[in-house]
Amino acid sequence: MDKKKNKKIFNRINFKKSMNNAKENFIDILNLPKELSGNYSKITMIENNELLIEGETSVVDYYDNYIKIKCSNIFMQIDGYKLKIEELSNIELLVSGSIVNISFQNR
Amino acid sequence: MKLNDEIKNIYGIVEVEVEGFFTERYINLCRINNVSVWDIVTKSNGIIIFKMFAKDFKKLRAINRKTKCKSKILKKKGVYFNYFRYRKRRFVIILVALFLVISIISTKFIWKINVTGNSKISDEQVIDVLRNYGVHIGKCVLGINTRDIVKNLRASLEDATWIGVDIDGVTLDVEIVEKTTAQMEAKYQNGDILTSKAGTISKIVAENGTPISNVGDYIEKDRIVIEGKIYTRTNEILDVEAKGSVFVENEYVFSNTYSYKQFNKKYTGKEKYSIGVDINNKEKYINYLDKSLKYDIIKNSSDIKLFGNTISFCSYKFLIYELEEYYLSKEEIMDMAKSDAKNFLYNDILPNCKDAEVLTEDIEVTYEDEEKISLNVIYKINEEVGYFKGR
Repeated sequence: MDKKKNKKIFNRINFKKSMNNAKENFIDILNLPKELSGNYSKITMIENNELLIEGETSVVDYYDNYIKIKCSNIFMQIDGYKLKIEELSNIELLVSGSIVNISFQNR
Repeated sequence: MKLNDEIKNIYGIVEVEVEGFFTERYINLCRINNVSVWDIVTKSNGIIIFKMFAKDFKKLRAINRKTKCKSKILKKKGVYFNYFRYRKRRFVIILVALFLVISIISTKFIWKINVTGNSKISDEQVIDVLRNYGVHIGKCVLGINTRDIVKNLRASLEDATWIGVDIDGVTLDVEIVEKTTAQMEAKYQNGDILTSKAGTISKIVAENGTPISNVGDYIEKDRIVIEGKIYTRTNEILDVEAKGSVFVENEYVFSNTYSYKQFNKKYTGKEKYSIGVDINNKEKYINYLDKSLKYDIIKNSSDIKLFGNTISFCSYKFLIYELEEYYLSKEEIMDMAKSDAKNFLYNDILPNCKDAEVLTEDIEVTYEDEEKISLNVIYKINEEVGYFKGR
């Protein structure tokens, strides 16, 4: 019984993966922006004062001088002074303050 | 001060402080539960402050329980909280409500009657007529039929040709177009249509009355063309006001004599100057000119008035010229005559005609010899000549 259940779960995961791949392929063919697939985050910066992340995000660590954000495929570490999350919604996250360093880490 | 913040202020904003070990999780749960938070600041380790809508504050209870954090409101902001403060002052609320109700109700009454376009008919006359009909200042707008008002006004004000009534908010606008003096005279007068010029009748349009001449007849000046009478089947004669238009065809002749020999002024370029005095239009200047030569005189003067007399000091400039002979051909004279005739037509004939139309233009030579030629330019013009004359 357990084997059957596991098979079903694996099938679902495979189906999801194949659907995602199909979506990406379709976007590639039509030369559309990659963030439309929903698997990627789009990062926009205005000098070193504002950082906008569009896509699924969640906050991992949050301090005055350090913020760690989980994007769809990567972790993002922001170092700076007087960092502040100005907006937080399902689609975007806006960080303001003086940003000194941004580093990325694969999940 | 951001515009976005001011808009958010209308809904009511609260500033919340959250204390606990998992503040990051707290923020993420807010996002997942559709609680919009902004301006998130870390006060110290484990304490964050953020802003949120007041209506979402109850949703935090579940998040507090999950993350084992404590939340408290630091500040309340917005229009909602400002008015919430006065909720127990019932008298003020009643007054505000009463004021609103009264102001809404008062817009349903006429507070001003505005009469425009009247000069002979006075404002009071119009307002009196309206009052008799039941429309006055303080009357409720509901149920007023502007068409009925117009009908009543037109029946009462005979000097008005057109009346418009419009209710604009609390103002009743009455616009009046009055009759002109010609219209007023014409209304009460029976009479005929006569001709102002003699000619052959080309068209008669009788709107009212009986035409007594026919198309093609020659008619003298000041003769009746449309009679202000109507003959009924029972041989009754009704006096009416004749209306209509009468068109006649007339010939206008421009005649002139032109000589083939023409002179042209040719200035030699030599000039002479002189001065003089002009006292009461009697002119005296130093004359040293050669009488055998011809001159064009240019005069400049400045006037002084002394004991009722006008004294002008003049300066003269004499331009010497010689006359140069040249001859015109017959065709050139014809063209010249045509252009002179056209000037005569547009300056002297057409301004004195009504609804005129030039039918033909003919040119004929009346006299011709070696030196000069006499020409007639004949215009055939169709024009309206009817005018009304009361009996």
